[in-house]
Amino acid sequence: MIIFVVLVFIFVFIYEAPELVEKEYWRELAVFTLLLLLGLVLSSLLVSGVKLPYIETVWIELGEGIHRVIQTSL
Amino acid sequence: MDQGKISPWQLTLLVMSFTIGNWIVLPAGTEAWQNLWLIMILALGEGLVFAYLSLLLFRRFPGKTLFEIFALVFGSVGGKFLSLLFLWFFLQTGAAALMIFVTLLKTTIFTATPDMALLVPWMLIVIYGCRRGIEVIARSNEPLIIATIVLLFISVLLVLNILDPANLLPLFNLPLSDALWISVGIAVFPFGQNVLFLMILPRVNRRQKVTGAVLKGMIGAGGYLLLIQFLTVGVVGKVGEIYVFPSYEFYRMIDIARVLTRLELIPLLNFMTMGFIKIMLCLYALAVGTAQVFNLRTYRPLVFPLGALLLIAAFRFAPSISQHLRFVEEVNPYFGLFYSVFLPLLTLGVALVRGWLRRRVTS
Repeated sequence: MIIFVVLVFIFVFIYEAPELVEKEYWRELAVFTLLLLLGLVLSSLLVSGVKLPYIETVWIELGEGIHRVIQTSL
Repeated sequence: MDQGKISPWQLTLLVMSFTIGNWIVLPAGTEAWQNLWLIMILALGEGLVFAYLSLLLFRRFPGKTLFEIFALVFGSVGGKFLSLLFLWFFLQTGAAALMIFVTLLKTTIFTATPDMALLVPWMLIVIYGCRRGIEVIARSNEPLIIATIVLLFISVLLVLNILDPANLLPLFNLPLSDALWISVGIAVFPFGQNVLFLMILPRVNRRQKVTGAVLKGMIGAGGYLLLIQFLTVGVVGKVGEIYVFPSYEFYRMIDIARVLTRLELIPLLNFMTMGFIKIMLCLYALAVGTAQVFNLRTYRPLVFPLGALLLIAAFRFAPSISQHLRFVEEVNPYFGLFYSVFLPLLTLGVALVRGWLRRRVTS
């Protein structure tokens, strides 16, 4: 599965990058590559079964933490 | 950047679709149940006030997106920081809609289908649409919102034989403070999420009509959601409070002479079309916003990687739908107030004070 994910991201890079190089959009190429790498790392972690935190759980725990701090300080 | 232009009418329809979005199947404030459609009138009023305040920002800086306004008001560093906060808002809003989409399909029709098989083709279409620009999004939205409205009017006729007015009672049996709090929750979700349109307004060809177009879209969507909620309560009754997707259950109960039955495809279709537009607009705002943060000349190459990030965020959004409902009830009002009211008002306030100071210095 990881190989499939890597292949998809390589395909996208091959599809997008030449046009950006041709137009000399270096800044765009850098941001695109950075975001693609971030996506690749996160998707690889996801398909290899690494338990990434849930977004809403983080918010709920953060809210509860702030609530606790306010309660103890009062 | 995107050079496409849309008309005020297309903007109105986009605002309607975006607001209807995922609320159509997963309403907030269901604890108010039979009072919910009444509370929605109050929430719509609050939402219109919030939207008007945000639109004052656009009037003061015509032709500028929210991120450009941030840069002008707070300077480069402060502006970029606030822009990053809003990028997270766009990502979270899109991921939530995507998560609800997959949860609804997995719990109703495609119970044995892997999440990937549902999400990946969906995201590919969203990415394709987003790359084509706002004009294409607006044009593809037109038939979809019209179909959604027509289906609602057909639904009204279909439920006439099973709608029990007694189900709508008792009214006003909720403490005022609870009703107000629920109305704030609805004012920020779905109405407050329209703050995203501050990224799209510069693409409207007649800027003087923007305020009216946005407010009309919100009123249209509010009326639509109010009617759906009214019908759901009237048909399903008190038991509807315990359903996760009440409007889906209400369509299941339709029975016309045992011929027209099991019409739950209608809310699914409505959500798939409106949710599709909502996710596409979130991805568009995310891509255009990211391009503006990094001062890029085009947003198009960013659409795929950001679409992949949106997909990952949807996968890791909430462990269960019950936790999502808890989030909507307990956290979302604060979260929404911060993004939909506090940040636009803060920006407007700082812009007004800076303008006043500049005038005093020059005079």
